[in-house]
Amino acid sequence: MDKLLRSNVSRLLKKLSEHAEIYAPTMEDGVCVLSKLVNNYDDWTLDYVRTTNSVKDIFFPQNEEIMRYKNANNDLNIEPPKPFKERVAFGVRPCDAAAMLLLDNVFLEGEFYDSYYKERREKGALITIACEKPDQYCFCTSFHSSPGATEGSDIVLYPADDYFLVVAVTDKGKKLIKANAEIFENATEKSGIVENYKSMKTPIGNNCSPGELNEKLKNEFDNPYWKKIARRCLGCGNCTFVCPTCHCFAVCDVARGCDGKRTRTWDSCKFQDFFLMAGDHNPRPTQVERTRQRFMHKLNYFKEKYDKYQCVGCGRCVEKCPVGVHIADVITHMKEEL
Amino acid sequence: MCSSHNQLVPKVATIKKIAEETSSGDVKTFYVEFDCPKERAEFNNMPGQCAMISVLGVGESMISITSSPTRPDPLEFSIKKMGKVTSALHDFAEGQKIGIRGPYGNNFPADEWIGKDLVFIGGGIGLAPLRSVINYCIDKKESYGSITIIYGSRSPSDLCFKEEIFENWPSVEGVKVHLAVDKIEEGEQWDKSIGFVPQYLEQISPSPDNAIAITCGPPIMIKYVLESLEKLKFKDEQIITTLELKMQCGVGYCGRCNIGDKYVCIDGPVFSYKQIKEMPQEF
Amino acid sequence: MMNMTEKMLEQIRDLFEKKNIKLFIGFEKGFEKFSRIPAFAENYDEAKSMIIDEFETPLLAKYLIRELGEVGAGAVEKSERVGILTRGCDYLSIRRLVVDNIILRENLVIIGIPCNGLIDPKKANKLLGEEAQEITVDEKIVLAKGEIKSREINKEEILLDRCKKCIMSKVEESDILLEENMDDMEVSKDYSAVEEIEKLTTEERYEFWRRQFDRCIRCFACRDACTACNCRKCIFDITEPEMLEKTVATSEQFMFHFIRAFHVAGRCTACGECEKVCPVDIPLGLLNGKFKKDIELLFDVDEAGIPAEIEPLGEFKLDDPVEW
Repeated sequence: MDKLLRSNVSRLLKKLSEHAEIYAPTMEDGVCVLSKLVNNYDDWTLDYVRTTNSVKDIFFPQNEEIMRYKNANNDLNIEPPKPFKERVAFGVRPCDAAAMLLLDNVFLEGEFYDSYYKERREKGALITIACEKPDQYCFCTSFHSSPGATEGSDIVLYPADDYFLVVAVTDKGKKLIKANAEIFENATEKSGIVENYKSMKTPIGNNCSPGELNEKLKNEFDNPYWKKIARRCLGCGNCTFVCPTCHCFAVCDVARGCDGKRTRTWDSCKFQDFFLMAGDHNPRPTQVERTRQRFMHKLNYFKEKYDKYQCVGCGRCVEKCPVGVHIADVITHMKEEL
Repeated sequence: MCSSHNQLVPKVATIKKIAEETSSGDVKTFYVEFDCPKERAEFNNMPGQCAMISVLGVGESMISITSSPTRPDPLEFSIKKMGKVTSALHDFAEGQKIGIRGPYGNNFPADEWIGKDLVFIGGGIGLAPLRSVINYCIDKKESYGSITIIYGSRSPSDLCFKEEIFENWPSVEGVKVHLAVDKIEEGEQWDKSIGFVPQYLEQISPSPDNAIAITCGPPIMIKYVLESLEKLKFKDEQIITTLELKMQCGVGYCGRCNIGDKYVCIDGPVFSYKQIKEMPQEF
Repeated sequence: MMNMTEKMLEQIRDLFEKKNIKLFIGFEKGFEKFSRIPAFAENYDEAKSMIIDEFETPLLAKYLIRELGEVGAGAVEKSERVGILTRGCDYLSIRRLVVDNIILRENLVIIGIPCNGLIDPKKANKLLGEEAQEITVDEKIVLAKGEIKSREINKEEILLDRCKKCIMSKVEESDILLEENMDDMEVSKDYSAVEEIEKLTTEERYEFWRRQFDRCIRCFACRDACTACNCRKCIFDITEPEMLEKTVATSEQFMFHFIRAFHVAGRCTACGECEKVCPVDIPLGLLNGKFKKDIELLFDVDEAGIPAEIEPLGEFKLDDPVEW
């Protein structure tokens, strides 16, 4: 096993930046965001439970250009974007890394794959840092994960005194370590550090593990509980935007004379115009249907389709919801009721 | 640029011809050809499938392909002026360029209907998706039993595909076309039936024996047609219809068109009544 | 002596028994230990879980739009009434809706409660260094106990940010007042943060706000939580013509936040809810505070944002010294 001294992290990031864009947690006006480092490789921080934005941003950004077009004199030319750069996300949490596997299901499986996402994923590496101190919003253990889980990561760093124990999870991770071998050191001490992280419990614990809830939810489309929680919902898109697994988007054209571009932008099932059709028909006209759609998608539809729940217990939506609409609450309520 | 495999990037196509379907001008048929023959060759559409039509700078809309693959070129799209994209498209002239990507969605399972009698029930612009499979089955008429087409619209001038419903289809042996309109204005010529499609269907009363009923039209019409078909003793699995929801990607990512765990863009738009009954009623 | 929660429940029972209200809006415990969330009761039994204490709560006034329907939309003139638990900040928001003619005062039964500022449990956790399991409040001293440590904290230190800027700690026209304010919370005008920004050069100011707004994820929580944002159809929800591109670019971010700030200028009740709900901590209070400060100065008003029949930006004078 290797180890990486904390004092060597900046050196590693700088070295990696020779071939890749580097993203790492940084403090910005008191807010910890996963942001792109440019020449400021010392700015990474460990002072966060979860970054405000999730790693989804790096592989499926809030905004991206799908293509550009020129249509002068009826000669229409459409151009897809230029190839993306290699990218390394450093300081990802295990829950976020696990969320990437769910996005993989959506964007890479089935008849079609998403070219943009696929290219970024192929050119991307995730260096995860295990969680030393999960907070009261964390419930990854409810989804068969843990503060020390490796699923979805290429490398996991386990914090110890003044260093990280390094576990290479994928071939990509192994290659990355090999290519930068001079920055890593041999870890000789034998200890249960990794196991400790893996067996660590999160405060919410695993009592809100959904189990076979998806089966039961099939018949709960008209459960009055949806109405109850939707009454509280303000209808903002907060929960869906901070979620590392939500992937709904809108496609927008921006025209400037004969030129223009088409972009895609995150969109939210919580917004009133999200399902609105031309002709003003809206199959989910009120917050009741939209709230149900969000939870049913995560706890039933997604599971039916990919055999996984669409939640990793990162706790962002529950931390950020201004009115306490809480997915763990939904799970525990439904488990008790059904 | 003739080779992108990127699903979200449309291919360039030219509008070769535009035909007004209705006298009010709210439905037009666009005859479209791909600029690149290779892209056309890769566009293997089946009856009932859709395509994303782009008006660059305005947006995209999912439109059903109304021409049958048995009559491949040009591709035909009959489009009602409804929202932003379709309105912009209605302002287009012959020779102008649009973007196309697809084909998307499933198709009418016409090959499973071999040997059966077919009853097509359409209303208004709802005949557009049916037209592809009607022409497909007519072109392979020897494989099918009788074909009954029941089609209605608000008024005679709102009937689409007039040449086919009045002349081409009735002249094929074994094909019967029944037309009805909701009402006629004073002075309008109309020697066919007057009334709503569901009642007209019950009046014609096609036999459910060894038959398949395929319906498409405004949601409210579909609702009553389904009731009428049940009255006529059609079983749920003998009834086929299409659904439409808002779509932006067409390939199952954007999260708008789901009904339960089914996405209309990739699992639909064609569903049997049996499948629809098993879905959450949210469309 | 009955505590405040018991007093409230007694009043709610009475209101439902006399058929005075069809709905009561208050608070109940949320999933986490100290979270207090909006609760809706259509009868007394449903209200039994409601609670009054000193932990952070959201504002309730905005729900009245949905629950009562808007006056102008023709839905109202209902004789049915809604009861609502009200602190000073909520009271201002309710007045905002009444003055804006969104709801009618006679459709409300206001149960007023005193408030000396709410506690932010997150701050308590931070000071304690672990998740508090028990927090007891004794006037100005808070005792926070965790699994390992326990600590006495000045309430002042863990006050909710928006309570520090409170401009109205009492409910002036409640139908039922549960308790008088023991001692009114000190309400002092503090524009020091706004003044800090004013000191910056134009370029520095632009850079400051660009950085803040670039973090915005356009979730619209600020708008959705704001009671002054009560347009029947928000301009940002209109898709044709599209006033705001969905694409999140710096120009669009400025457009959104500035239009909203201008639109609530003079009407913002300084409740601080926008800042509190923002998932990326954009200091929206600074922006609204600047408007508030300027209006107070330019229009010679004491406290901009207190809803009134005639408001600085809500009237015009024929002899206005400035040309239109």
